[in-house]
Amino acid sequence: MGQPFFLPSGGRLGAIIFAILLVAAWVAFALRMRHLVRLMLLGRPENRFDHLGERVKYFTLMVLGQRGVLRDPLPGVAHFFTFWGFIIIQLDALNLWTQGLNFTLPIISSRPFAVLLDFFVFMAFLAVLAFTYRRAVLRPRQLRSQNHGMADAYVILALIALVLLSVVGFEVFAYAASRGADWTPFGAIIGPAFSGLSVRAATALADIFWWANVLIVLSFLIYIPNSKHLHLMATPFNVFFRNLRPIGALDPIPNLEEREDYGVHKVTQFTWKQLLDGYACTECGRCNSVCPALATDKPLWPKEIILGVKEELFTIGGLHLISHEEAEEKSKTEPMVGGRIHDETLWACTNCGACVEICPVSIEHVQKIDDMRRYLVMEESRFPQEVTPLFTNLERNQNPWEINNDTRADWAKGMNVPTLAEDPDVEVLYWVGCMGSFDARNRKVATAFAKVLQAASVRFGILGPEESCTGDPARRIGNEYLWYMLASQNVEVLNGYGFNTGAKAGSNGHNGDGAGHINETLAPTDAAQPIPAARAGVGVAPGRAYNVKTVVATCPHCFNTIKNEYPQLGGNYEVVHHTEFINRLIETGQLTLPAGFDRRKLTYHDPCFIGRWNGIYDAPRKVLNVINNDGVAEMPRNRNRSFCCGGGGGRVWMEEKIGKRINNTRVEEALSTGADALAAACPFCITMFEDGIKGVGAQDHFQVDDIAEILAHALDAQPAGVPGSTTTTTDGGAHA
Amino acid sequence: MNIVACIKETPSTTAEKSFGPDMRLERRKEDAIPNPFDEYTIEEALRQQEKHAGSTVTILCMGPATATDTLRKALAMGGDRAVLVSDSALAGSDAIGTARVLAAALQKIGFDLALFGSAAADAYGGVVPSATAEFLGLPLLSYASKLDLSGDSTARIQRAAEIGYNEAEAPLPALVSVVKSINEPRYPSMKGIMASKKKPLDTFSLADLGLDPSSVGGAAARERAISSEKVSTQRKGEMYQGNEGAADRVVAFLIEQKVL
Repeated sequence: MGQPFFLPSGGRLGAIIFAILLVAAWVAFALRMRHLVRLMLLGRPENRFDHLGERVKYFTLMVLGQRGVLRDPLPGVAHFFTFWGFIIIQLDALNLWTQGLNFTLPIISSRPFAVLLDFFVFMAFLAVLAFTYRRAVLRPRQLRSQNHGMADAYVILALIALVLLSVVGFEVFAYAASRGADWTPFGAIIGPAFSGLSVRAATALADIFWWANVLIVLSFLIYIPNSKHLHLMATPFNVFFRNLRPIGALDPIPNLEEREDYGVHKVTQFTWKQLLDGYACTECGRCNSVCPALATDKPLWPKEIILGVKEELFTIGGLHLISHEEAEEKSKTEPMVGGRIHDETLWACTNCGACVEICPVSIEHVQKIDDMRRYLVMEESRFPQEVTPLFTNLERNQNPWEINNDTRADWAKGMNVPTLAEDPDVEVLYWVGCMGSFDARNRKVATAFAKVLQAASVRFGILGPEESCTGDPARRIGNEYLWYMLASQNVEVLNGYGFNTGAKAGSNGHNGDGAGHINETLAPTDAAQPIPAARAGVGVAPGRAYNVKTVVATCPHCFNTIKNEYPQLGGNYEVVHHTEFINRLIETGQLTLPAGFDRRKLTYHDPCFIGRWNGIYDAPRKVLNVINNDGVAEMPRNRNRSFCCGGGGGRVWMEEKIGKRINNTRVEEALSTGADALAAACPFCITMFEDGIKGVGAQDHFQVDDIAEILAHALDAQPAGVPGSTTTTTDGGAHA
Repeated sequence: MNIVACIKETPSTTAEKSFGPDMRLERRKEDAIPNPFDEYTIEEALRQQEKHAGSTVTILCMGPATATDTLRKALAMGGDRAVLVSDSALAGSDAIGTARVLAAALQKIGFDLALFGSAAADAYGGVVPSATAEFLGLPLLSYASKLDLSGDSTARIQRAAEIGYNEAEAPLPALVSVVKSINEPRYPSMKGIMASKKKPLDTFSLADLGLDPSSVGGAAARERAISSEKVSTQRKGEMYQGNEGAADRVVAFLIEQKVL
């Protein structure tokens, strides 16, 4: 510990005043933080302390590495320097404070640190200018907010600028006062200009800048937890405690049949982590900028939901800390759902996950929206009228329509596709879904995919009448009970046919001692791994794509529900989307295609429920690259930035009455690539785009095809022979 | 005010329907739902209850013992209690037999307003409301598309006419049958579903109603089905495409069908 060159607080009295201010500011800060933590703990419990190693890794990447913000370059780079500048300036603040108390700490009072500090001061200053320019001149729409004005942001930018200037001012005059002994880069550059000043005058000026710095930094300390810059404190925690469960799954409602309340309509019904989301929100508005509902003028601002919940926590939560009765009363007279957060806002969401994907601070918007939908549906029966027949039909007919579920296998008549009831030993279950089974347009996809499977000699079957809706639309709309009933029924059927790969594998009595290695066989792999004894009779064919009983779905919503949500009911299955399955068949040589058969210019739409929610981006593109020599003409918004078709989150079952139509918007984007056809991989997308193509009047020159359909066309045109026996890598024939 | 919603258990509209050797509809338990028309009956009972504080809603059904499940589903929408009239002697009852039973049950329950759907989705007879009114000697306001109760003493309804509507009124107690345009039935909330499991559900036998078993059931039925055949729902469509002559062919078709 050393001594500063001079006492910048201006003598003993100054040091005492400073010490008092320092303690007072920290006490005020601590009290505010305590209040915020107490508010947060009004939320429900939730375990976010699992997988600590993974949490540390992600924290390093996103917080220290700033990867989230860097995806948007201008504010990203500026934020990188502000973030690191902030940390380094904090160390310098410590340096300045100790100087005010007449001692110095090692390292942070050294010259190398001064170099580092001044570099970041300079970069942070540029960053503040960039932020101001963006906010005042570029004015991106995403920065607007109803819950919060712009003033807060400018106050903070001004405070940062003043902190930076005071650091530089102090350095300059400290250099002058010490006649160069207190060396810093800024001091050495600018200081000589003030060499004419007396030591006394220079010291006085240095003192003034020191006090300015201290007062600004301490005000900042008090201001931060009262402003949107609370994110400085909350974001690192929010990132650390982020969701590590499969992101495509909605959380179940525990004890569904024994509880008093369903979903969320009071802020205290959110979990503590959901409340922490609000503290972490920096109001950057990236979520708003990517929301398909907002882009088409629906009353949904994802950011406002997060901020609305936060405001609600400050008002109702604050009241809770004083009187629970009054708070409960107030949340009845001034409800959050239907009040601060409108019904139409909640119904506008397509659950596309663009907001969750883009959020640099790991906020989970969709679960919140669906939690509030659950309240609307299960407690209030308050939902768009057209949803009632959907629910009733799902209950009575296990499909969304007034169609007898016994006819579910009718699409496959004459195709020689067995049901599992007829052939329970098949290796692959094709999960057709309601769209593929009943919807005229999507039956063509089911037929096409069945042809592809047959061409690759895959031994597969369907469930037919034993298949029910997976429950996806019910769950996404908020009817958890209906989801639970449908899902339980499906889990029972799938388990009955031995598809469960989970710990229950020994339950059929065949291989009680084989359970130890079953989990190793979960991952899709080419290598012949030990297979459970119960299935040994099935045998592993050479080049088989998967070596456990596999469920293949053409519907991303079915796929996501079975894969990510059925484990909540103890149903663990090897589930693959048909685009992945086809890709695997091609890679293992089980399926050969006339390469480059499709001569059209193709673009590809990433369905949200295989893309963002499940990370499947490459498999469909690889397949298209085989069948079409030019591959995919990408739309401006592709892969994880894909723009929803408008059909997710149960929206395909609702009318779109407000604003522009999402599907038309996306079709226009597809047309902008100059493509002749849109390759799709989801029945909802196909339905939405068939409408959208007509909506924009492009039906004469543009069409939407499922990837399976494109392949089936090629296979149909292939000369008759033994499928898969030859490798046809050259031109497979003319395409009309 | 005591409001009774009379409902029937029917097979699901999508269920495969078949007749047994005795020409009676074979009913499978797993296909059973509350008659879709009666969702409007129940909804109207609940709306009248909401408008008239202190009213009770009873849901009444004649059916097999397993119809308790259907009544629980109905109670999930709302209502205070349910009554099932079930007796092995009731099997094969026709509309008149059913009306006789409902009249006796209504008398036993006691009511100011008894609501009915305009028909049941399985048989479409549509005579039970009027026959029940006849047995009770009380007025029936049929096919109501709007119902107002004024001063707990009078029921006033609107009935859609070819142009505009008719109005009719009757003193309470009265019977009212409703049509689908009268309301939009609610979807049961989870609270409703859970509450329905705990609501009182009484079962009456014929003896409880003081009815002679020989006056109801298959033996007393005066209407019976004679034969049935499956209707093919395959629709044949003709499609005319292209600009040349398609419009002419459509016009020719419409003239041929005497539409034009």
